[in-house]
Amino acid sequence: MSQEKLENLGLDLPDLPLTTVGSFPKPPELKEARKQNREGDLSDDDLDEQAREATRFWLDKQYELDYDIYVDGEQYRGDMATYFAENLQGFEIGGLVRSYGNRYYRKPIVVDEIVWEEPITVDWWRFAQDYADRPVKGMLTGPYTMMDWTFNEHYPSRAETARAFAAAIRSEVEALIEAGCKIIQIDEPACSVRHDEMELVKEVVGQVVEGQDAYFISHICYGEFEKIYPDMLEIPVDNFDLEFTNSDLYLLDLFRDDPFTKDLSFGAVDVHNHRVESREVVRELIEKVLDVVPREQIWISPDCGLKTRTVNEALGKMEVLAEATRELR
Amino acid sequence: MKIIAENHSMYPRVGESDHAQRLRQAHHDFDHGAIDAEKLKEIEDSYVEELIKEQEDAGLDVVTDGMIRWYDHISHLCGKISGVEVGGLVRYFDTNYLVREGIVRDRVEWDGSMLVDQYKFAAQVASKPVKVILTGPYTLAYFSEIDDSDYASERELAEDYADLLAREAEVLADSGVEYLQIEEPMLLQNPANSSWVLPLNDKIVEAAANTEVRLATYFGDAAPLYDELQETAVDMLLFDFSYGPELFDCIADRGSDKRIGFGLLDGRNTKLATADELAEKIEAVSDNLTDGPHSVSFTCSLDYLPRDRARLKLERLAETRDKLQEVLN
Repeated sequence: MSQEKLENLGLDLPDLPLTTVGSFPKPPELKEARKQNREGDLSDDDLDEQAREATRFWLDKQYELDYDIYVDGEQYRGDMATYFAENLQGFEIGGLVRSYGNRYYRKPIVVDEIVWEEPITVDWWRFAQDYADRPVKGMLTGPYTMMDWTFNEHYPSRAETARAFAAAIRSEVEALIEAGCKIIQIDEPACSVRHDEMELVKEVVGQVVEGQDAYFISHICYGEFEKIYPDMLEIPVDNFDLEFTNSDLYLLDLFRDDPFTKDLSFGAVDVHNHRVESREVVRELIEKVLDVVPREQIWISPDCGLKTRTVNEALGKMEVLAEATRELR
Repeated sequence: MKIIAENHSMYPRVGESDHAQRLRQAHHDFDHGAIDAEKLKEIEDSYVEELIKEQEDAGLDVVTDGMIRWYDHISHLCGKISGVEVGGLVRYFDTNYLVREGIVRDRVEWDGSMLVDQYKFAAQVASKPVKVILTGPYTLAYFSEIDDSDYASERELAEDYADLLAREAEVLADSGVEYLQIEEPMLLQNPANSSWVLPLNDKIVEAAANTEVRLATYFGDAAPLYDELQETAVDMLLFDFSYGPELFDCIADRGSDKRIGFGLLDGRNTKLATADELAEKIEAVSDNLTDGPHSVSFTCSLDYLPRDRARLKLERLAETRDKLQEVLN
């Protein structure tokens, strides 16, 4: 069914389509520019120009490595939840909160009604798509994850907060489609955490995508999949992008018992490790999924966004992933 | 009926100003070899002093040292227990917060006190009693991976953890600790294990002579275990009412032989309930309670909040206590 949808959208993808999860590392000069901008020493326009240059760099790399579906690399975004909170109405960007050890992030606070006023990601998507020769994915953070990763002082419940996010994100999806975007990824990494809220995840993702003419992917990572599988297959998207190298392939055992019915973007390189895997290791991993999930359902990608790696590590991992995939075509 | 205002456990260790960020900076410098362990401890000491003063200024009756020397609830203890190494990051329940798990290589044994020096420092700078927190044996065992050791089960490991935590509790009691808190959030995830978990906690209570012991459970509903918890040896049951609103019915229906810790102010959300609405809830069940003292507290650690919001919660806690004193006496 997904194949048919892709054809109807005019997308002609090769065997084992190659893509990435979304973020790429920011080059050191862009990191420095973001710091200068925060301190008031660099204008927003100058920072944007540097982010455009970094975006072109990553689009060139995806072209050189022969990827099939591109991403813009999110060179203009900070945290995946805070970025949207900064660009929607109804938020206060809160103080620092610890994520582990000595690592902190700013967690947004919903203090008023969440309102989508204008497109957030469309200009960047259009910039990338105009430059690129292949489809560029629209990249959004899903309503359930936005709710779970923000404080809420306005809405009466978690469900109401998630529904308000869904309405805003639906507007962004509409704007992306209107601009010509055909593949949209709605990341829901938080959805595997509270198993009792899976119905809410299905509802709010449905609220975003229902009746929208695009191919939808959702990236989910680091959770207890055994507790949400096969229930998660009812989240109304076409393709799930999941990590495999960092989870010792136990997901494949689940798929043997309950067949994976959607398309699967198979995470085949570890993003939490500095070492670049060998081509043989990656190829063997992909062969394992091909034994369990029908080939026409499989896309190939890294485990997660590559932004925590260095530029060279990310390129090394992308290259080995592309080589292993080509060997199997 | 007497009611006191009691901090739960952790307190945020970073704020907005450079001064409030000095501990974060010190950890960064220590990790990069720019300062030595002695200098790091000096900064930790000054931070503990500052946080204790913040709690006392807000009007709390029982404070903690903010647990700012703990990396997290698991690895701080595992790193000091013989037979265990500190491992990789895993999610802490349904939070977006990661802890380092223990890797059990050998029989686990007490290897000298883990917390006495920290307690002594805090007690010396505090004018109010300082509560000490111990992660419970079951939660510790759940977050420990059994590797290369002869433990056949999580339960067997938890039994050995209980023995060494009892030894720690004894040493803490001998050092003058008045308030000890055992944290067993895992119990609410697998309540069926209560028949063997609760006796392990009782071992620790019995070892801590002349100390008032709280059993803190959170991130789950304790109402189904209410009767069983009443049969334990602990002095106070500190509940997370955000996950277990039915606990009010349990208290109203069956009363409580134990002191109750009313974990009412939400440690996971910035929203501030009013002192009136909080006091009203406790007042409604006050006829079913002993003379106490009972506590009003937070649902869980405050480490999930930005520091400015945590400070507001401290003040609201003291206000709630004052309000209750007024209406109950």
